[in-house]
Amino acid sequence: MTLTVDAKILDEVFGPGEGTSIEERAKSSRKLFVRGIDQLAEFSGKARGRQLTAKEALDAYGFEKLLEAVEDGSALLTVSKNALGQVLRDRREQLGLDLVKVASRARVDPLVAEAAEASKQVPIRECEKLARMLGLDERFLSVRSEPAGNESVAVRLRTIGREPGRMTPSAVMAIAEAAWVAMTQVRLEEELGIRPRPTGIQHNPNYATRNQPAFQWGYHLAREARRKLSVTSGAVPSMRALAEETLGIPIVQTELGETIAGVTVEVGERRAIVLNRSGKNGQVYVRRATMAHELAHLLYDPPQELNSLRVDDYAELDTFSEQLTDKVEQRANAFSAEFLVPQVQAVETFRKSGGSLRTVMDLFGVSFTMARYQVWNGLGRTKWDELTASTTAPPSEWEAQEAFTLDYHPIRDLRPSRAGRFSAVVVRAAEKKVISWDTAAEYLEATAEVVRAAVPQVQELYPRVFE
Amino acid sequence: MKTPRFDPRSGRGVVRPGGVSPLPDDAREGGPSTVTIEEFTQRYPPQKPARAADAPEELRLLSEAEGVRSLDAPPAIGEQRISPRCLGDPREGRHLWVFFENRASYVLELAQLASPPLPSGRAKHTNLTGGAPASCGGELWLDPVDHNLLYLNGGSGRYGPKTPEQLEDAVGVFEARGYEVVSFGWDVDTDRPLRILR
Repeated sequence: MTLTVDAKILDEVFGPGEGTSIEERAKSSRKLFVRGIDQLAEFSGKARGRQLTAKEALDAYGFEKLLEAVEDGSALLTVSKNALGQVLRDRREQLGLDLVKVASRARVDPLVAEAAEASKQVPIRECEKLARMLGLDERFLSVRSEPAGNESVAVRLRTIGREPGRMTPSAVMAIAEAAWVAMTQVRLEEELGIRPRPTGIQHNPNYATRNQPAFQWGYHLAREARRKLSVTSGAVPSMRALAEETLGIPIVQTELGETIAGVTVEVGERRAIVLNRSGKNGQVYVRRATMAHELAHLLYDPPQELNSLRVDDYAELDTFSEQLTDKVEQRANAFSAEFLVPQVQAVETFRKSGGSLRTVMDLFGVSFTMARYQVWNGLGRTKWDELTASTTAPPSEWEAQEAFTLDYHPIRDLRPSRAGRFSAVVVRAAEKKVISWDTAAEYLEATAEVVRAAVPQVQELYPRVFE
Repeated sequence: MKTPRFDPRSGRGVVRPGGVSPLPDDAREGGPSTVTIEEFTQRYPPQKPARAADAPEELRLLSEAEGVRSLDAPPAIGEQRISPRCLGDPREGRHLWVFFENRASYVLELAQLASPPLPSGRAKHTNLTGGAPASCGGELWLDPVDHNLLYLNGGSGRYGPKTPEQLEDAVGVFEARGYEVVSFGWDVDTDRPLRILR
């Protein structure tokens, strides 16, 4: 609904400008607001809180608060004095995390973190850093008494985190932060009008049917996906680009320890992939297989099968599809193999190359295990022992194609979780005044000057975000 | 003026850089400073309201009979006494104060004695000045037990203090008159007077 307000009031709140609606004026306004933990005000040079564009402030707090800030010098945002600390502490305890460790990962002094949890007067920037580490939407700190930001993911994380040996506190924290990255990326993309391209792919509830076991459903769906995504022959050049650019699925790369390969998380109506950078995913062929596996979940599993968060271990991904008892995983594993290296094409390549499994691996960007399995299947399950390769290390081209900006991001020392497409979306959002350069800098853990200076390089890395 | 360092345990003091905090009344160098209202007015000459009135009622000068009082010496008089430390709704028990014509005037925001009643049901700072220049203003709560004790901030869109020093000096005016004052302090994040007491 578009609200219209008296032009004089609009001028007062947004400064002189074009347009008759609040939304139009906010979009074109050059005015900055600033928030602390308790209040919102018009920005002045000495203010050290979070600077917000008029649009950003309007989206988060509504027109009434902007008007109050202008009329009364400041607008109260705080819903109750305890809301700040309560939300931070409740979410941290819900995730079973230690305050000092959260503070350390957020790069916040533990004493300040303690003060924030006690709802003392602390700088908003410090509170925001803590909120992001806990997967909370930092815009609503102290504004809402309930945690804002993917509550169902937090609940699921707590459940999984409590299973003995399943997940370390570091991994829980990394996933919580990744959920914040994904949530923020999706929110900004929607503001920028960047939406996933319709593919015609729909969830498929068939896992094991009378005539077709789950792994065969996986093969079938992989062929369908290749057709619908126009990857009819040859290798998928970049799984990352396919997921992020074609399908609009945020990919967040982070450190999740040695056992977890990848995770899918719910972000409102959409989902994101959290990819582990540690362990076997360090090898690009494994990483591609993990992404294909997660893609199978996202494209075809109905939401009830995925919950709000699904964790896949390396052990499952390494197992032959047919040997997996979990039908959801069996289907996803088979999908992954057939999507990356279709049996027919694998055998054809194998034969043309004079029986070189290595050629199959390097042409399709898949591991020795996956290439061997697909060729073996395609040859009628014969010659298993003859299917060998001299080396299994991938050539550097594949690494460059999939790792992309993680190793060479123009903003130095940026966390890997924020160095992907997220960084480009943030820069674009700042250019379009959806967020301030100050917010962009905070998201990208640099100064506004550094972020502005990196714009041309970020544009070059992610041209489609800037189209 | 010495700026106290932020103490995360108490949440008091001032964070540097980029921090926020109330200035504790006992943290100023050499203890609480006192200033007469005449000195204050000389230092901070009266200014017109920072924004124009939205309605004529905002410029109506309320009288003593309508609930306007002056903080000349303790005790502070008022019927609604609520400590902002335990506030649910911060509007409860909220008074407005201004330094106007060498008086520290205040009125309950609800202005229940206004006759005829204010159409909006709430007073503005300009109702204490008739829209004339004033040297400072803010919000005020009266302690329910200690009638010498004031809780005070600089929350006024019309006459609010522009700097933490101005707010501190305003506190000094009340202290010079014998009141004990808990100042809400200055929000470094928004560079405005704090309007919530933590």
